[in-house]
Amino acid sequence: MQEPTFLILTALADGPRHGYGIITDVTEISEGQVRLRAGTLYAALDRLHGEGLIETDREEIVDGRARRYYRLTAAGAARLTAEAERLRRNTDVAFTRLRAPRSALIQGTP
Amino acid sequence: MTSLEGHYRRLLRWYPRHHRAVHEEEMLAVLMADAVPSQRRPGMADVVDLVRGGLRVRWNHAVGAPSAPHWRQAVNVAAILGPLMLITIETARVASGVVYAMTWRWDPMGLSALWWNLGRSLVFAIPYALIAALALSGMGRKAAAGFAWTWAVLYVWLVASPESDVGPVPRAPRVAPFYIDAGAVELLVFVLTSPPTWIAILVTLAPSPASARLRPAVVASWMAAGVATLVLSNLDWPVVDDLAMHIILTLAFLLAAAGAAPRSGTGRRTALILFALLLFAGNLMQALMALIAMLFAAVVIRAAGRA
Repeated sequence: MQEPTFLILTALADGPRHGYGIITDVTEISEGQVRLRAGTLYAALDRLHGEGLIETDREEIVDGRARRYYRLTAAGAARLTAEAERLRRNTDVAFTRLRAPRSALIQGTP
Repeated sequence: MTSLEGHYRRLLRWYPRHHRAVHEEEMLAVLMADAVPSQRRPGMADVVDLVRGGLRVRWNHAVGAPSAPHWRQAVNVAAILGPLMLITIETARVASGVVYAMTWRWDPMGLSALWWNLGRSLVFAIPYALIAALALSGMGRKAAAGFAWTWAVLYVWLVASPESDVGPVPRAPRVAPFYIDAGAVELLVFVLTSPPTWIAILVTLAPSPASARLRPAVVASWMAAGVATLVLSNLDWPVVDDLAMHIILTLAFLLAAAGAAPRSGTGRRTALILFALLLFAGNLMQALMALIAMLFAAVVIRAAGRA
């Protein structure tokens, strides 16, 4: 799973959001590292919708424009859980190894 | 002067129409919310992102998860139209012979060749009619597949086997790309490129060909246009250049087909499958012209839609 996809699903994990809401939330989650643009976001939403990972929650009219809210489906939540667990295993290994004494690392090198 | 919103709206044309119908206003809201208040034109990064996003959505709908139902239905339709297309080609072959015999040479030799062609085309067309009929009658799907495979094997024997000269049908001219005297590889290539094999594959894969709701009038006019085109393109034209004639006629045939089918996602996919079949049934030149004509037809239809 690519990072933008992971972040979009994460943005929807605690409740429905509309397009711009997802963009601002993803910026917040990634501490400004990932700034989604409309083209990228809607291509991803289109794909996720096709895969049944997200669905439309409701529509509102704001300033004369349709504002559509998206939410995770059960399949989407399961996929995000699996991906988050995979990432956690990887980061756990990284932290464990980083905590090992540095000297062993240096001496281990021939 | 075009407003920022107008610029964005133009960029959104990169997205498929149905996607725009649902998401255009929503995407505009996001784009406008993201714009700087004094901004007059979209930034370069936004332009690239929107174009890339549009192409991604199109690609996703062409082959991704959302396209699966279209593909299923296209295979259903092609399982019916494929056999009908081959009947069209056989009918045109007979009609060409009749027209040729009546207009240019009326001699006993030509007449016997005509009867021979008629018999051959009947033998080749009847199985396709049966396959289409069985596939259309909901209960006969398995029977249709079984029959289609039987015909595929029989066809290879009729056309390619060394004994075919003494078989019920003499060796057919111009049906096979080459005759099978050589080895297993050639035989395999021949089997894989023979139209009945592809009909059999289509009928086997089609989930429910009976659900292909085809309007008989449209199908009949499509077949009539096909016969007329093929007959006309087989005649010798004293004035017009052969290739130009071929292109014009193929174009006329495909415009009739294009008008009926490729308006929808299912129609476009059906056209693609049938085009591949045409590649095997006809010759490479015909298929190439068909492709050019299809592209041209798509451009013409799009231009007409805009106007």
